[in-house]
Amino acid sequence: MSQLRDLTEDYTNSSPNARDPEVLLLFSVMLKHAGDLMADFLPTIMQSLCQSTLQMIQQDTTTYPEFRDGFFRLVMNIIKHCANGLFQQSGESFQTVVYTVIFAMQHEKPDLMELGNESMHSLCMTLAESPSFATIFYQNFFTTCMKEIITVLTDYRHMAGFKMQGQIVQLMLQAIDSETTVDPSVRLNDLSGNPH
Amino acid sequence: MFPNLNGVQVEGFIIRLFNTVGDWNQFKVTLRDLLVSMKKFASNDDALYKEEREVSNFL
Repeated sequence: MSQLRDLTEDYTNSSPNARDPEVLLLFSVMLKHAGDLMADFLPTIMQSLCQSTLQMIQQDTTTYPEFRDGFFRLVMNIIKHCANGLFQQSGESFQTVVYTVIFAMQHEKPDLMELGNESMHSLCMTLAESPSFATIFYQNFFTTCMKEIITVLTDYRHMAGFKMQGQIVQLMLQAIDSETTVDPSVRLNDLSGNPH
Repeated sequence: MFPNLNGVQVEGFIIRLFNTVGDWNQFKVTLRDLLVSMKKFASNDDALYKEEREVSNFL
């Protein structure tokens, strides 16, 4: 574990051009196999890997393509395989994850877009199984997510993702349509706090 | 958000989306219809929607 920590620190402290996207892929594969065992390590991943990679790629949608691929895979595996860890993160980290997924969905390159769609889809699936998190999530992010999904669904640059985008919209509408998913007794409206 | 759809259309689509939310195949058809109608411009005083407008005024 300490070697892994060194690796993430090294990644953060290097200049963007000296970083190796394989680090992102390594952690993405580790998350896939270790799942919730990585939960304790997740804050480190979020702080060192996610923040520094985001700074490299958030200005546009084309530079550092291999970093984008690794990074979106990493975020996807956090959502898919380490959901319990993800729900324990601070509100700020959680927000970073959600905005990264939305950002991935906006990419025009089909495989990057597909990673974003898949992440959002599994996030909605996971939320459907945990009503209390779903309530908080949808209170904070529903309008943002819905707006961004409708945008990519209706413009002509993201046609290939129609099926996934449609299913995400369906899942989100199901969530607000069913009484079991949303628990009205939980009322939290600030983004700054912990999502609990 | 949808400058080329009028209120009646958007409302109709939202109701249809909620009505078909349990069935992916019907939901998909509704979404496709939405995309198709977005390619056409329609204004609020469109003659196509005269009947709906009268009903809503009546209510």
